[in-house]
Amino acid sequence: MADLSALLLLGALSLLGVILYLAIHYSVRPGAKPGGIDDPLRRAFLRYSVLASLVLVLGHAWVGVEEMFRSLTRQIKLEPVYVANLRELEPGSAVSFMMPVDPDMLPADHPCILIRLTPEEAQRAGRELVAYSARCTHLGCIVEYLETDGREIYCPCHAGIFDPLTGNPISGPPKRPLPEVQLRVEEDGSIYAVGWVGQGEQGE
Amino acid sequence: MSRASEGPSLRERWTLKWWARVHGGCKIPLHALSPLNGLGGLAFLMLLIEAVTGIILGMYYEPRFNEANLAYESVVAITENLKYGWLLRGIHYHAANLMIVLSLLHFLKTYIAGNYREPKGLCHVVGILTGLLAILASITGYSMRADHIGAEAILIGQTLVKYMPMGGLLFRMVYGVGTMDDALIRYNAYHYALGALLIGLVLLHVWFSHRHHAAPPMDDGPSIPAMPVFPNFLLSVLSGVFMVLGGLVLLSVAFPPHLGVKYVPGEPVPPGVPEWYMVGDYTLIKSGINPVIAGMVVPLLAVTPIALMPWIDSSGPRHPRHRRFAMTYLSVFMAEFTLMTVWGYLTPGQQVLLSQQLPAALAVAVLAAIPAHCATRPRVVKFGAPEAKRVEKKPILPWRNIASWVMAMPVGVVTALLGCQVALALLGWYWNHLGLQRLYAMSLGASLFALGVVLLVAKSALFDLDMLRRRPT
Repeated sequence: MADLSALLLLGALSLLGVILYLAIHYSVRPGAKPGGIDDPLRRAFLRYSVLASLVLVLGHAWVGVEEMFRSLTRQIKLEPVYVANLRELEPGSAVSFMMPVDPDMLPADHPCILIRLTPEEAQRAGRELVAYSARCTHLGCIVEYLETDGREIYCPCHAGIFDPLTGNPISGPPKRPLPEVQLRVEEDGSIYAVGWVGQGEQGE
Repeated sequence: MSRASEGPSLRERWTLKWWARVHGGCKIPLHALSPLNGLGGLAFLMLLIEAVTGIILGMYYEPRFNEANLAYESVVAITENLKYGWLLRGIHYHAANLMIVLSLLHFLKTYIAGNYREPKGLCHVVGILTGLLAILASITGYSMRADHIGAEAILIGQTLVKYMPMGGLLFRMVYGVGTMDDALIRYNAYHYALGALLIGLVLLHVWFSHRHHAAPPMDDGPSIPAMPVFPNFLLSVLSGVFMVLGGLVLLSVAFPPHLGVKYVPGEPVPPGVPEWYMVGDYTLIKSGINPVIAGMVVPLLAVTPIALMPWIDSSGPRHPRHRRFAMTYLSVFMAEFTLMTVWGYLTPGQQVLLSQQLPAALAVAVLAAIPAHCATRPRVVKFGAPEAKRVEKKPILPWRNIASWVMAMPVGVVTALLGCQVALALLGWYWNHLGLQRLYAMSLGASLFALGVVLLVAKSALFDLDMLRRRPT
């Protein structure tokens, strides 16, 4: 990052400043022998100038290296993704789909899950359709929607459980909620994923 | 009980002080301080640079053809879309070429100086093998670009393998079913494998020369210890490494890497001329006879006496003028290599018939052999001291003048260079911010070079002046 390179550059500059200061300070000291081979300060100056030079080159190179590895991961604009048709989706069932961007809007194949809540759940949640990232917020395993045991989102890796109504973790190791997908339902019942809820505010 | 009997602890072993105590006594002999003795090390440095840049390039390269030549497209993407991808490619390309040049020069130097004599015979053979494999690694490398030159190299390679004995089976093993897809994905694997093999072979080569020490002087004179390995010589090497790195960056800015015309099967492409070290072989293949004999058997037969030279030319004085056969053979070999290379460049896409090549090769062989023969004497085995009069050389460093200049004002030089580096870093940061990649790369190359000079000046003032002062007069 540019901040780190700035820091390195600043560090090198301060180091250089200290060296220059000490060199000038010592050379005007009465009785000193500036420039002699055995002058300890002159030796120290030469030693640390090599270090300063190296730090300068490393900071310089870091700017380009960082730019290089970053250059192929620019944010992209998301086109709506067709997920399913509302008429083909039973209440209390789920369908999985793929988002071409991750919650940071960087290009990725991000697995997601669309759930049509049962009528009583829908009443509690105030909506019928919810969609979340299917990658567990613990270590990134793929979560699944269990239709049997009390209807929950379950991660098979370390038994994390999420609330299908909100995406919040209920039990197990996950501590953060699943990122939620923004949905749009057309008049013919087609469901589209149009983005991530709160994208721009949350920076993971 | 006592620590001394247990030897150094693991922690002590990792300190420079321990290393200096063990190896500090080693001194590089005076005759080996010549810059010509650094050619092999520089070639190894190029190989290491190839490894680092190659691994990063491999993260973005796609070894797939898939009808639309995706490999070529990925090379274009590395050059144009990946920031500083052109710089990486440039360093990879130039370091590969320089690796071949430096290996060849290193070979010439050691051969002419007679360094291959026992006990270094095996080291010499390993070196020749390494050189040949380096060429093979470079061929697989430029084939992976899948431009018209690379595709032609792949097609020629496929034909060569087919013409070999047991060609059918060998072809399946090397090229799979023979599609471009199969060739590219295999070349990708071979390229990495050859790189790893090369590093192993070079380490073996270095280990040999470490065990056998520097070869004695060409005139069989005494070996005078001159410069301690630690820290004087090692710091010189390190400063050279930084200067070479900076130079490579600047070279890539000045000469961006080459990329030919996209190869699409069925579409006409311009006649391709391979990289310079293969042009001679390419001329031989154009002779119209069996390509395996022309392009592989003949060059390997020509190299064989060179590889076996430690046992052909095994005794007598080491100076080149006393080694008539070795020097005449080298002269003819290099003349033929030059002839075929120049001829290949003059006749792109044309045939050069065997009936034309044979007389020309014979004439050049005679022309090259005569001066080498006249400049050398037949082998005379002398007993006792080979030369009566020998001028005693004083152990003076070859760069004494620079050292005395540095002695005058090292602090001023270093301060000026550091100031330049600060300015370059600031400018580079700004240029990168503006997206001016070539200017940024230029400033980085210059800064790297300056680091090398700073290290050299500081090291000379800190250690070499002491060494010179301590030298008994």
